[in-house]
Amino acid sequence: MPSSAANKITLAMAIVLGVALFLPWLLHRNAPPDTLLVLYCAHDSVFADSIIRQFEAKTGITVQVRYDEETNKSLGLTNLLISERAQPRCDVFWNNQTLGTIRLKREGLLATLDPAVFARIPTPFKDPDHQWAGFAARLRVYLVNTDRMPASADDVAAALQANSLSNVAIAVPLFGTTLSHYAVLGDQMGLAGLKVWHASLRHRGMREVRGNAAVKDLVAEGACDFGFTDTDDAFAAIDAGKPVTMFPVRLETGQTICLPNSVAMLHNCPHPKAALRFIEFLLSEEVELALANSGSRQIPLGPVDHAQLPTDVVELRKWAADCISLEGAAEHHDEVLKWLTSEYTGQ
Amino acid sequence: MTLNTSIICSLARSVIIASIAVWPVVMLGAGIEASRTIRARRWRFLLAVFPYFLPELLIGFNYRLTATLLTAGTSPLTAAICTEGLYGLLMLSRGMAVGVCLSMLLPRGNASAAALHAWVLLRHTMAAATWWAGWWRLKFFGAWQVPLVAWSVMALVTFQEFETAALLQIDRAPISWSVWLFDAHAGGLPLWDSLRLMVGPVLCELVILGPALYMLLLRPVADENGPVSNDGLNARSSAWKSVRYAALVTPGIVLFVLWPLMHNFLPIVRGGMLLLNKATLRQSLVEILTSTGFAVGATVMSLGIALRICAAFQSSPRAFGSRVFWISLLLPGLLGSLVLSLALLAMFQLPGLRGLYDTWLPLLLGQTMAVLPFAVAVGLLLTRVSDPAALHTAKLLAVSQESRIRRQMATLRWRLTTGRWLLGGLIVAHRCFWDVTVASILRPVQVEPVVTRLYNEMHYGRTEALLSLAILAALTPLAIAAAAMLLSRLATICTSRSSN
Repeated sequence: MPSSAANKITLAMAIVLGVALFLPWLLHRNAPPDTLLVLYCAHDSVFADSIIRQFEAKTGITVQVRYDEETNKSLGLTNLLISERAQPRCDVFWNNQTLGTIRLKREGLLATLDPAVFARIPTPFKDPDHQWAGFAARLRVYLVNTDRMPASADDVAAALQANSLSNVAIAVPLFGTTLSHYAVLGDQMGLAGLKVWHASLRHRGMREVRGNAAVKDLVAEGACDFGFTDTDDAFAAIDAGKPVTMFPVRLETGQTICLPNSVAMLHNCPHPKAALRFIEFLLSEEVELALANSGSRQIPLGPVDHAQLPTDVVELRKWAADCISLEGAAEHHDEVLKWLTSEYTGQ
Repeated sequence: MTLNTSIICSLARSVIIASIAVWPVVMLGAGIEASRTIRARRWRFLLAVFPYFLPELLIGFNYRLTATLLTAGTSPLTAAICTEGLYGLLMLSRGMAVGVCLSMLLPRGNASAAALHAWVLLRHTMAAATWWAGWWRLKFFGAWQVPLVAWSVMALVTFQEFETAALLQIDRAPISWSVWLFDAHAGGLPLWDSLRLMVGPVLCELVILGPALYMLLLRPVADENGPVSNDGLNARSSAWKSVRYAALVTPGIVLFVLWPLMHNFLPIVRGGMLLLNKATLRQSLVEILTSTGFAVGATVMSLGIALRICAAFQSSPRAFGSRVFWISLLLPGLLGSLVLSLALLAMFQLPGLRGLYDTWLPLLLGQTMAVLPFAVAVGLLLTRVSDPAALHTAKLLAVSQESRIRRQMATLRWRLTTGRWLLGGLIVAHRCFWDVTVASILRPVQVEPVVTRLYNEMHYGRTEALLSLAILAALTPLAIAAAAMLLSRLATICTSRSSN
C-alpha cells in the first residue's frame, strides 16, 4: 500500500474516532442535569412513546429512552440494570410487569421514595417499602381462533384436557409475562405441581414459540386453535380484523392473572429530580387513562373517571377485579426461573 | 437440552450444509465464468450472492409463520423435522451465496493442473511418503484451495447464525447453540459465566476455520496471482453450464425474493401508504440516518484495518508470527456478533473502561470488529482483482486534447478507482447497518438505530409497519450511496477538466 494512501486511511480512521468520541460530548455538553432523564422502558415503544413525548412537552425535560427489543434480542433490561450496578446510567425503570422490578429491589438497586409519590395506587399494587409501584395492567388470556373452534371458556377448558395439544401455543416461559404466569402457577401449585403441569403440556405436544406476539400470530393466522398470551397482543389481532376472541386465564381458585406495569427510580441515579417528576407523571390518572385508550388497552389500577374508559377496558376491569395477588408469585419467581433455566438449558 | 447437545447439533448442521453447498458453489462459479459478456457475468454473480445480503432479521420474520403453518397439527417429531428442514434450506441458500462470493474473491490455487500431472509422472522416482506429501500439498494449494476455504466460511456462517434460528424456533427446533446461549444469559446467567460457556463454541469455530486458517498461514506467498482470469468468457461458455447455473440459483431467488414478495405484497403497499401519512416519518429517518452514520464509520474503520491486513499478506513474505497477529485481528469478528458483543459489553464494564460505556465507542468498535473479516474479503477483491493496464491507459488518455475523450477517460478512471471503493464500502456498510445483535447490545442510550426499532415493530407483529420501515431503511442508505457516487464522479470529471 503506498504511504500516501496509508496516510489518508489513517486520517479517515482518526476522523471517525474523533467524531465518535467528541460529537456526543458537543451535543450534550450544555444540557443541565435537571433537564435530562434516562429511561429504560420495557413497555412497547409504540404505546409508551406518546406518553414520554407528552411528559417532555409538559416539563421541558428531555427523555432518552432505551426500549426492550423483544425476547430474541434483548439481554433483558433487568439484567442490564444489574450489570450496570457499579455505574448506573438509568434513572427510571418502566417495567411492563412487576416481577423483574421486585428482583431489582432484592438486588438493592432501587431508591426508596416518599410514600406520597405512590399515594394514588392501591396498596396491593405497590411496594410496602416504597421502592416501586404498579399501574396500568394487562391480563393473561386465552386467544381463540373462532374459525377453528367454538369460542367459549368451557370449550377452551375442554380442549386443554385433550390428548393432543399440537394446535395450542404458548411462549417459551423463560421470559416476559409467560414467566410471570409460571411464577403465579408455582405459587398456586407448588414447584412440584408446576413441573407436572408443564411436563403434561409438553408431553401432549403443545407448541412452544418465542414470545407472546408469535403466539398471537399463530392463532390469528389459523395455525393454532388457541394460545396463551396477553390482552395487548390479543387486541393487536382483534384490531387487525382477525377471527379471534379472548377469555381470561383463570386459576383453579377462579382468580385471574393481572400483570401491572411498574415504575421505580434507580439508587444513585444521575438525574433524581427529573426521575421523580417522571414517576409522578407516570402514576397520574392522565397517563392511566391514556394507556387505557391506547391500542394496548391497559387497565387502570388507580381511581379514574370511568366515563373516559373505552368499552373494552370496562370489560377487562371486571376480569381484573378477580385478580390474584402477585406477592406469592414474587416469592416463587427465582425458584421457578432457576428450574426453567435448568429445564431449557441444562444449567 | 444442554449446551453440549446444542453445539453438537449446530456443528453437525453446519458441516452437512457446508459439505452439500460446496458442490453447487463450484458449479455456480463455473456458470458465472461461462457468461458470454461482462454484463451477463455481473448479473449472474449478483443473482448468486443476493441471498447473503438480505437481512437475516427479515428472512426469519418472513418464514416464522411459514414454519408454524408447516408444523401445525403435526407430531413433535414431524414438527422438528419440518422446522429443521426449512431452516436448513434457508441456511443452504445463504451458505451457497457466501461460497460463490468467496470463490469469486479468492485467488486461484498456486499449483496448476499441469504441475499436478508432472508430479503424478514422478510417482515411482521417490519414496511413497515424500510423493504423497507433495501430492497433498499440490492438491491443497491447488484445486482444493477455493472449495476448502469456501467450506470453512460457509460452515462458520451457518454455525454462528442466530437471528433466523431464534425467529423460526418452535418447540426448541431448530436447535442452535447461539439461541441456547442467549436463553441461558437472559435466564439470569451472569455475564462472565456466559463468556466462560462460549469456550466450547469458540473452539468449534476454530476447528471449522482450520482449513481456511491453514491456507492463510501456510500458503506460499511468493507466487501471487494477478487479475482473475477471463478464460471463461469465451471457450468454456456452454448452454449446459448456464442451465445448471439457472437451476442452482433459482431456489435462492424463490426463497429470498419471490416468496417473501408474493407473501407480503399487500402489506408492503399498505405499510408504504401508512408510513407516508404518519408523523413518525421524521423519527424513522433520524433512526435510519443514525444507523447509516454508524455503518459508514464502522466501514471506514474496518476497511482501513482490512487494507493493512491485505497489505501485510500481499507484500514480501512475512514471518509466521506476523501472519498469526494479523489473523488474530479477524478472530473476534469470525466468532459472531453475539459472542463479540457480549465480550465487548463485559470489557466496557471493567473499571478502566467504564467511563466509555455509554458513549458511541462500544457500538462503533463492535460493528468494526464484527464486519472486519468481511471487509478483508472486500479489500482482497478490490486490491487483487484490479486491472492496472486499463487504469494506466485511462490515465494516459486523460491528457487527450479532445474534451470528449478526456471526459470519458475521467469516468473510466473513476470507475476503476473511487467508484469501486465506494461500491466495496457500500457492501461492507450494508452488513454493519443490518447487524441487529451488535446494535441492540452495545448501543448507547442516546441513539436508536433503525434495526432495533424494526425489532420492536416485529414484536408487535405489525407486518405493515415493519415492512414499510424495512423498505425505507433499505432504500435510504442506498439513495445516500448513489448520491455520494454521483457527486464523487462529477468531482472527478470536473477535476479532470480543470487540470487540463
